[in-house]
Amino acid sequence: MSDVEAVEKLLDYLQKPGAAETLEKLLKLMENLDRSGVLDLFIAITEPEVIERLSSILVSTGLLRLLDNLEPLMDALGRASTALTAPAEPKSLSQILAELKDPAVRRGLSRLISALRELGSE
Amino acid sequence: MAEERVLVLGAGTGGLVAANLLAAHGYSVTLVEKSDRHLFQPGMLWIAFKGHPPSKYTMPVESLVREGVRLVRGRVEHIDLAERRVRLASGEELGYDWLIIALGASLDYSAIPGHEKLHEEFGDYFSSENDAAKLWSKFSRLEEGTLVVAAADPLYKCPPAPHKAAFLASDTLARTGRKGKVKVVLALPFLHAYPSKTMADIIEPELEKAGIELVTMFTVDSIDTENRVIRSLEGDEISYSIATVIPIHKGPRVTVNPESAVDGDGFFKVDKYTLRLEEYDDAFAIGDCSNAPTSKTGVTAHLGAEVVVDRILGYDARFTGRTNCPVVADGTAAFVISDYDHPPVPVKFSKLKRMMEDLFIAAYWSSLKYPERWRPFFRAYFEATSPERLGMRGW
Repeated sequence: MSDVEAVEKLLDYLQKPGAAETLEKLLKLMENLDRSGVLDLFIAITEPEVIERLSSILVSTGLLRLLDNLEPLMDALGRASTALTAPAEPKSLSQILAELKDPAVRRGLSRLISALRELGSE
Repeated sequence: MAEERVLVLGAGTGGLVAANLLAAHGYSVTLVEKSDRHLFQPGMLWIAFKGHPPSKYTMPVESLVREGVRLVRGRVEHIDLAERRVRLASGEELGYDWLIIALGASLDYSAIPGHEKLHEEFGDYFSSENDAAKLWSKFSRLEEGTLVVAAADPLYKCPPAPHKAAFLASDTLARTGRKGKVKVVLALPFLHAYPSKTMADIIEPELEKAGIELVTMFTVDSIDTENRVIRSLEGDEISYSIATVIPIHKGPRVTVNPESAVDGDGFFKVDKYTLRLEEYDDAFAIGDCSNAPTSKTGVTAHLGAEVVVDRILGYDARFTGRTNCPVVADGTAAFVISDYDHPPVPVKFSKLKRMMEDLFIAAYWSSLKYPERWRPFFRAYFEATSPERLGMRGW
């Protein structure tokens, strides 16, 4: 694309309804980001050496697995949080043992034990 | 070093990554390409089964080439490895100090009786964006009947491509209220839904959930376009209203001196780790045109290009044969992750992987033109998801 073609393309864009206003907002945002120093930070973050360091820290097996399981995990934690904050009377030992007959309780305990095993494996 | 002449044949994924990376290192690179537009090949699936506009997945080659790369428009006719010369169909001859062959695979529609006629009638999602648009024009109007998605041979680009085709078609049928009227049949020349049993066990329930009928051990032998029936080598047959069959893949249509540099199907014989042509220290083949024993995909072409560039720069880089083939289902995706030393590890379908696939597609053009910018991120991703690291626990 020649320089003239590039300018023509830009002028065509600016003639679209609302385009000039959008561009003005963008320039205002850039001005604010620049004055607050955030723009300089963004520029530094997008430098290849910083991207390399960030990638090696953020893109890890653990984080990818965690993100993959985020939805069911948040669902489980959300349900657990409701139970954790609900009013509860202290149960007797025999009542607690009786609760262990509930398959859902046994499944929950099994999951907790598996998670603890993973925590202790390394 | 940088004054050495590098000749890259083909501006597909591998060729562009190699040419642009070398240009970034100050090399003088000549890139030969017969087409004026680069096609993001997986995009053909979205054109054919989702009705996306073809323009979304093509880009002028010129716009993807960095400063320092001389683009030559032309079709490669002959490669003389002994004389270090390449002849184009125009008669122009190009010499080199380093040669990178990235000519892709060629598609043979004549190998199976009836295939050319089927391709002419329905188009497909393997040959061009126009053929994909043709398939969409037929598929989008199919009110009832059977769509058959099949493969002619176990060797083809992007092993989960037919699965993606079936999933995307099924999703479109559901969204357009045709689910109960149009059946999707996925017919494959494998024992299971996928060559790897580990991935087959993950894919099969998803196929069932999507209502896709799976037919295994179905190697297409002939296509009867009059009676709309596909027959298999195993002796079975499937009737269709619309059918799309992945064609037989061969090496690029070029002559080579010596002929021994290519195998019986025309694929360039390479050392699978260095991607160097057997018996030639100055020539490499990357991507679909090589006989490296890994999947023929954009990821392997991209990673292969990085290895070849590193070797030209003097590093002892090794290609691992790593794959990362996406299997896209309804709102979710999985990846087929393997390498030379590890068969596919279990990778389940998830929304995150679907989002990652969408982001990979969005980053595609930039990763071709500025591969060195994306390299640290890709390196971190491929390390974090290496089959060795994931193990049988998978992802």
